Amino acid sequence: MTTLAAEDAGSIRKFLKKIPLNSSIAIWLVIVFLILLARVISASFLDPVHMLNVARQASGLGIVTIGQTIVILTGGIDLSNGMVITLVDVIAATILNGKDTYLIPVIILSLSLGCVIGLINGLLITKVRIPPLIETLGMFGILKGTAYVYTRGAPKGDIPPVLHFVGEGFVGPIPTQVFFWVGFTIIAIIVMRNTSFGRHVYSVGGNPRASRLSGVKNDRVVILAYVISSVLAAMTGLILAGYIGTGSLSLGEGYNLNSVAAAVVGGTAFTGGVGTIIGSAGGALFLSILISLLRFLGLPYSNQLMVQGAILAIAIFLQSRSQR
Amino acid sequence: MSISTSNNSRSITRSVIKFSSRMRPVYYALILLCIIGIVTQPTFLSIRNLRNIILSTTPWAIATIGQSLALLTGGIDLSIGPVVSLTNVIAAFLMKSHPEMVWLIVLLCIGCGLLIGMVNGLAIARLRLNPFILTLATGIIIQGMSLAIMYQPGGLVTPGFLTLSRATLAHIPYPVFYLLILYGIGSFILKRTSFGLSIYAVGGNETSAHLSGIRTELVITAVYAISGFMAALAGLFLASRIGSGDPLVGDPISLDTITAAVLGGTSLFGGIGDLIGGLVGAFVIGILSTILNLNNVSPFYQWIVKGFILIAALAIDLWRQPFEK
Repeated sequence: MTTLAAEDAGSIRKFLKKIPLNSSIAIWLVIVFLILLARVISASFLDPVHMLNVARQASGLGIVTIGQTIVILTGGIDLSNGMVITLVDVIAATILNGKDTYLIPVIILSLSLGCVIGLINGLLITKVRIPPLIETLGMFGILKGTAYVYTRGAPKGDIPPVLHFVGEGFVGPIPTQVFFWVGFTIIAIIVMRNTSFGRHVYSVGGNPRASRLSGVKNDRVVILAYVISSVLAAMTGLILAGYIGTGSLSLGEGYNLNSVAAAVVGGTAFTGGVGTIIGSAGGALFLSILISLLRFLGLPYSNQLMVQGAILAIAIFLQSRSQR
Repeated sequence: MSISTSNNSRSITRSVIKFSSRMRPVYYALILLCIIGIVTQPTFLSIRNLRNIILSTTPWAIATIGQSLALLTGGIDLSIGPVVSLTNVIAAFLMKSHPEMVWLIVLLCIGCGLLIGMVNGLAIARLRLNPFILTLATGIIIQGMSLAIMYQPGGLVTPGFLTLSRATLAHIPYPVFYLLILYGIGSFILKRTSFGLSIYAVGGNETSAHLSGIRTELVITAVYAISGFMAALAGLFLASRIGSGDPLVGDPISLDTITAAVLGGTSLFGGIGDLIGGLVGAFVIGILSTILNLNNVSPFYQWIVKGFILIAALAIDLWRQPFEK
C-alpha cells in the first residue's frame, strides 16, 4: 500500500515534470484556485454578470500590462504609463465635450501623443542612457503637471456615445472592453512569438551584449518597446474615458505600479528576458479578481492593501525559488 | 617676490578650476537657485523664509540618507514613504491617548522602522529578492497598516514634543543640528569605517565583495535597517512639525528621496555617490518648491519642473562622464 502510494507519488512527479510548469502557467492555476476559493466563500461571486464585471475591470489593467511586460522584458520599466491614461482622458473629454464631431482627430491625436511620449522615453533611455526608472519617473511628473495645467486642476468635458459604447457597452453579454483586451493580447502573443521584433525583445533583455554582437539593433528594439507601451496606455486612456464618461485627473493613478505588479505576478522577471504575455494577462486578471473578492468580503481599503502587498511579496518569493 | 605671487595666484586659479570642474551639477543648481531666489524675492533671505525651507526640507533630507545608502548597495527602498507615514501615525495616535509616554512612543516608532528595514534587508540579502519589487510590496502592506490605524488625518502629539522641531538655539533652528549630526555621523561611517567601505564594495560588485571576505548579507541587511531607522526619524520629525498624524504624509517621500539622491550624483547601479550629494539634492528640491511658491507659480507647474530637472540632471551628469563600457 505504502509502496503503491510512493509509486503513485513518483509517477505524479514525473507527470508534473512533463508539464512545462513555469510561472506564466502557474498563475492561471492560481486563478482557478482563487475562483474555487471564492466559490466556497460565496456562491454569488461566481454569478456570470459579476464575473464579466470583474473581467471588464481587469481589461484596462490588462492592456497596459501588455506594454509594461514588453518593456520589462527588455530590462526596463515604464512608470509613466498611468499618466498617459490620465492625460489622454482629460484631453479627449475637453476637446470632444460629448460630441462625435472630432472623434477621429481626437483618437489620432491621442495615439500620436502616446507615440511621441514613448519615443521620447525610448530615445532618452537608449541614446542618453538615463536609467529607465528615473527617466519614466521624470516623464510621470511632466505628464502629471501637464494634465493639471491643461485642466487648471478642474477637469471638465464629456465623452461621446461611441466611446461610451467602447468603455461600458456590451456585445451580447460580454463587455466591449474585454474584446479589446483579448484582441490586443492575441496580437501581442503573435508578435512576440512570430516576429523578429518579439525574439529581439527577449534577446535584448536576456543578454544585451550577446544580442548586439549577433547583429540586433538593441536601441531600436528598446525604443519600439517604450512606444508600444505608451500607445497601449493611450488606447487604455480612451477606453477608460468611455467608461467613466468624463475627464478625471486620478483616472490613471496606480496603473504604473499595478501593471508592474501584474507582470511580475504573471512570471515576468525584473531582470529582463524572462516572461510571457499570457502570464501577464493572468497576472492582471488575478489582481483584479483578488481586489474584487476582497471588496466582496467587505474588507476595508487598509486591509485590502495589506493582502495585496502580501500576495505580491509571496509571488516574487515563489518566482525566485522556481528560477533557481 | 612678484614671481612667487604670480605663481601663487596661478596655482590658486588652477585649483579653483580643478575644484569647479569636479563639482557636481547639483551644487551649481543650488547656487543658481539661491541667486534666482534672492533676485526675484527680497524676502528670500529673511530668517522666516530660511527657517521654513529648513523645516520643510529636513524630513526629506533625513529620509534621503537611507535611500542613498540603499542605492549605494545597488538596491532601492520604496518602503521609505510608507514607513514615514506609519511612524507618523503611530506617534500621533499613541501620544493622544498617552501624552506622558513620549519617549516610550518614540522608541516604539524607531523600533518599528528598524524592524521593517531588517525584514526588507533579510529578504533582499538572504532570499535574493529584487529590492524594487520587494520594497514596493512591503510598502503597500505598511501603507495598509497606517490606514488601518488612522483612516484620515488626526491624532495629537504631546505639546512638549512639538518643541523638538520648532525650538531654536542661538537663533539656529534645532533641525539644523539634527541634519549636522545625522549627516556628520553618516558620512564618517560611510567614508572612514570598514562598514562604510564595504557598502561601496557591495554596490560596486557584490560577488567580488563577497569573495574578498566582506559579509555582504550583513552589510545589505544593515543598510536597509538604517534606511528604516532614518524613515522612522523622518516620520517622528513630521509628527513634531505638523502636530498630528496623516496616513498619507509619506506618500511622495519614496520617490522624492530617489530624486534627491540621484540629483546629488548617486548612481542607480550602486557603488558611486555619497551622502552630502543627497543632502544638497534634497535642499535643491526644497528651495525650488519655495521659490516657485513665493513667485505664485501654480503647484501644477512644479510637477513639470521637477520632472524636467530630474531628467536634465541625469543627462548632464551622464554627458560629463566619459563613456564607459
